[in-house]
Amino acid sequence: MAKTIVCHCEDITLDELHSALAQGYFEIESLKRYTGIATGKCQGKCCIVQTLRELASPRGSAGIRAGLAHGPGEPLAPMRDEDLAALVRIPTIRQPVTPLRIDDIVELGAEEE
Amino acid sequence: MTLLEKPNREAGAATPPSEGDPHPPAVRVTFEGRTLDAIAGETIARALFRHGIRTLSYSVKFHRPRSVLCARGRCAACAVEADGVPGVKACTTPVADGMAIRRQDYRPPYGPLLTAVARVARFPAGFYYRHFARPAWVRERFLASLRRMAGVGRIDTAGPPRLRPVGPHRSGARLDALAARYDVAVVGAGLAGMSAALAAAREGARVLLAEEYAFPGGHAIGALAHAEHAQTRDTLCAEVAAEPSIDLALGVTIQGFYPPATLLAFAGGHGPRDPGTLRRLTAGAVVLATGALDTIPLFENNDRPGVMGARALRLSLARDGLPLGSRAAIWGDADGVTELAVLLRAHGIAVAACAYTDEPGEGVGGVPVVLSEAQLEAISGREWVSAATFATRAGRIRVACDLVAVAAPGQPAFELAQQAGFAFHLSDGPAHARVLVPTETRRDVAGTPVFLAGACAGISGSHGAWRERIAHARAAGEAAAREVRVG
Repeated sequence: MAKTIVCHCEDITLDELHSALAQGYFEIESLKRYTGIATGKCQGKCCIVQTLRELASPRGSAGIRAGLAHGPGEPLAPMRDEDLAALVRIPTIRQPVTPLRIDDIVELGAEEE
Repeated sequence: MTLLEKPNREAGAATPPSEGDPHPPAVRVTFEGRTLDAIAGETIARALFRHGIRTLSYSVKFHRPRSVLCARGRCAACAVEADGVPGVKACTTPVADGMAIRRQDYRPPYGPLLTAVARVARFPAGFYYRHFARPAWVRERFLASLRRMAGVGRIDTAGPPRLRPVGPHRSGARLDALAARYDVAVVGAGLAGMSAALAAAREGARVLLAEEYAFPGGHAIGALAHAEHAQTRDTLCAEVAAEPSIDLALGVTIQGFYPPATLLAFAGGHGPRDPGTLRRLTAGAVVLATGALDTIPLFENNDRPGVMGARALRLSLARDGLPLGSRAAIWGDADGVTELAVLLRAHGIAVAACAYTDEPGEGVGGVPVVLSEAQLEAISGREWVSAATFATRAGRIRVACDLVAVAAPGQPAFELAQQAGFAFHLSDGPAHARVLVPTETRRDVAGTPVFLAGACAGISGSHGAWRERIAHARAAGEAAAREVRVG
């Protein structure tokens, strides 16, 4: 079955991302919770740019505009779509930089003390 | 001065078979019960690829084939179970004699029938972890049964930890050779990192140059299109090795940055028999030259094994000698396509097509299919790429190939930068070409000056930008050393 995969780790398709955008999940943290995007083994390293590009596309920035109507959020003053897209936040990548086994870190960290 | 120069064969990072001893000892591994010959020092992926096994795991939801993707242990798409330990990265873990390897997630995740339905039907996003969420005990059992059905391995949490570092031969032991504190710590020994380290050393600083890979030069590994580029790489490597005030720590990954100035260094960790070592280091100033990560753009079946980015191809071919294919289609801008054509041909891979996002420019000679203003639209092939379909002004063109090389702009490897408080945003420009760039390249992190250098600083653009990246990195290294001296 032909699919376009945005997030390889969690198998999130472009269709799913678009459907989430259509439902108003236009901010990366809520997209993560709703679709599971950027929550897999690589923690977003491989998919984040593609996700942000979709958010910054007309489809995504329309969502951002619609969302802003509901309550206070960025920006405080009206601004251009392109500038708005630049505000799209990226999630914080957690340590460690490469996938490591938690017990390795705990074990080896303890040895260092 | 180079530390951790030659990782030992038992537990060190995989060395390219060409650079090891001429007759590396043969070892035996088993793959799902079948005994295979392997060569000591080669990666699990290479041993399996040589025996025609290229699907290393399956994706969690749609059970799509997965194989080597980033080739550097970042994406974990190639994770296999080795010696009963799940999550072992086949792309960077060397084989060991008697190692028992099996695929991970080898069964359809929710039974063959439901998985087949999920592949065709459009289920709501997150259906596989959102359902049966309450009460908690139902959710726990549901998730556990999904994982069991998919065939993901179990981590043995009973009894004493198996992965305790033992003996003097553990590969990370020589982390002890590093000083506890440096004037300047440079993370990443690519061209930018080496330039920054040399500049700092020439300003009189004591420099740590930490490199994740077992060799300096980063992604400039392998054949390069421009002689001057290759010569610069070789000169920098020689200068760094000869510079007494630089400690070049190869095979050392900086896993975390803790403000104000603590770096978490990790060495080893190559598979179940090599747990690795951690060590905390501090520095007066930090230069992050972590380079860039491949990005794979969006097109149909863009996750099919055999679709690879420029950096993954360099590492797989020049570092690992991975037999990836024999006929490649290359897609990207003119500089990127040229670089990849030179690399692939140096490794005996024929270039079946060059598809340029813009105009070919000087182009690559002797290529049967050359496309201008082409978009990669779809990939065919069940377990591995068998063809690529491009959309051009003249219509759709399908190219039969067994490797698709994508020269898309990389994204800064921003993990450590983010931990140091740098903010990244999308650049301006047409949607497909927008990249992540930092808002600043120097920050004061609770009194520690931290610099971004090279591709990590968002200076990417065309491949020709390497000169610009080096010049920028040199300035960052100088500034870092000066600020430490003043402070």
